[in-house]
Amino acid sequence: MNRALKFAKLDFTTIKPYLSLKNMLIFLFVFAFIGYSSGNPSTMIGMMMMYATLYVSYPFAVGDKNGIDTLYCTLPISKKDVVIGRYIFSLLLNLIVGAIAFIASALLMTTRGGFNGQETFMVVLLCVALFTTVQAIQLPIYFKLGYAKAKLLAYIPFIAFPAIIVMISAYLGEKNMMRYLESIFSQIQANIFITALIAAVIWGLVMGVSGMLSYRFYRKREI
Amino acid sequence: MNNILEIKNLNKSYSGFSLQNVSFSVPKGYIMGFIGPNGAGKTTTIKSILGMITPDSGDISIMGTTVDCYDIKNHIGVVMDLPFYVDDWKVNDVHSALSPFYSRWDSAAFTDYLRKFNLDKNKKVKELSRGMKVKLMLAAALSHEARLLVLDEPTSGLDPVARDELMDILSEFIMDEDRGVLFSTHITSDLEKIADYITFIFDGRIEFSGEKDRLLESYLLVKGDPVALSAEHKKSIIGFRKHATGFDGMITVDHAAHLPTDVSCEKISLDEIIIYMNKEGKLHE
Repeated sequence: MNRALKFAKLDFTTIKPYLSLKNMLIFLFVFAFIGYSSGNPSTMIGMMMMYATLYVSYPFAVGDKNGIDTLYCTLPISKKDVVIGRYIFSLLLNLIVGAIAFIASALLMTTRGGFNGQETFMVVLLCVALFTTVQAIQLPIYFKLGYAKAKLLAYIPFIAFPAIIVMISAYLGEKNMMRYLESIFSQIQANIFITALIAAVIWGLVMGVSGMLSYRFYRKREI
Repeated sequence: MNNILEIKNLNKSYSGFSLQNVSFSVPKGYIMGFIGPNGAGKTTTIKSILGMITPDSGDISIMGTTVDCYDIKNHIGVVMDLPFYVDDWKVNDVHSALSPFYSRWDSAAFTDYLRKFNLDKNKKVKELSRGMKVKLMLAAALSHEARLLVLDEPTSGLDPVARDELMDILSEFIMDEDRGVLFSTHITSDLEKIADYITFIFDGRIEFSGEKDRLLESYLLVKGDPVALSAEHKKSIIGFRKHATGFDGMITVDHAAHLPTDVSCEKISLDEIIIYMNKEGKLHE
């Protein structure tokens, strides 16, 4: 097995004690209840992806508490393997939670008789892309500062994204904003393939830059 | 190649402390005790060996391979003063976490060590006593056919029985002459029992590196009435200390020959060498 994949497996082992079945079922029940009462699975999917984002920071949090960077230094792996492995872990975690969110939505909406598979899949895909982008901003901060120092900074994207939207909408005015959005959505619908391609390229670039920054920071970090 | 670990001209500067041209080697088949007072540079040296920090200059090689090559860590077993495993892991999780990384991981050996050390597979790391945590790190370090063991203060806080068990394990480990141990500790009585070589670091510089007996034979503990000493004699005494009943200090064997006969000279211990060197350092600060 590739060293980075082995490291991703180590990350899952690291968070394993904190992934109790009881906790996961409680969260799943709460999310399902919210999804069912609103009649819209998007809220539930978004909340589940938010939950995944919290877990992405767990290896840093648990590592900080237990001095696990020392363990990494005793293993026959490079710092590059650590960084790539952590990104693989994050992506896998998001995909697993995304898949669970899709299945939960399907079960929930089928009972209400309003499940649209294609639409739900698109919502899951969009949420995965959005939350992994947020994580791509968080990960280099964690690699540079460690969890204890970075945890406040890492929440900046959650405040910055809505703040930017509010600022743009204030600048354009509500009517203009709606007009722009409608025009963007109609452009997307007319060129769905090109839009998906552009989004994938942007996502890939964000991930690539994030990974390079993380490696640069972690390589210099002394333990 | 007769050395399992070679360090040449290692330098690392921090504000207020620096390692200066640290050079020493650990010969195959032997245990090297690494001693020095707190803040002398032992942990900085060990961190450099493990790649936890980047030295400003110098070379470190293990079995002739530079430590930049992370593959070499297949041959290193590490035991630190504090465990570096997740507190909430069960003992068995340590096996599943580490085994995929080592090309020569021996699961049967790990299970054997757990049995030998009375470690319960289902106990959490945080539920283990300090001695048991050290044994868990040791079990992992010995289960991937490591040829170099790096121990950083593993015995601090251990009771004499647990320390004695550790000494036995190290003696057994070193029976294979292709292996070596770098053992950093404050408890020098352990080293007096099992170390063949000593490297003494003080204020970031290596003061001595060689056979333990040669170090112990190089210095003497000197005591007596200070009235008997001339200014020249006092200058030759390391860590000279005057008290109500006389004086004490450490002196090199060469200088001891010039002391007056009413001053007593005795064999010195490793602990006393560290104490007097430290005192001398403080006198010159």
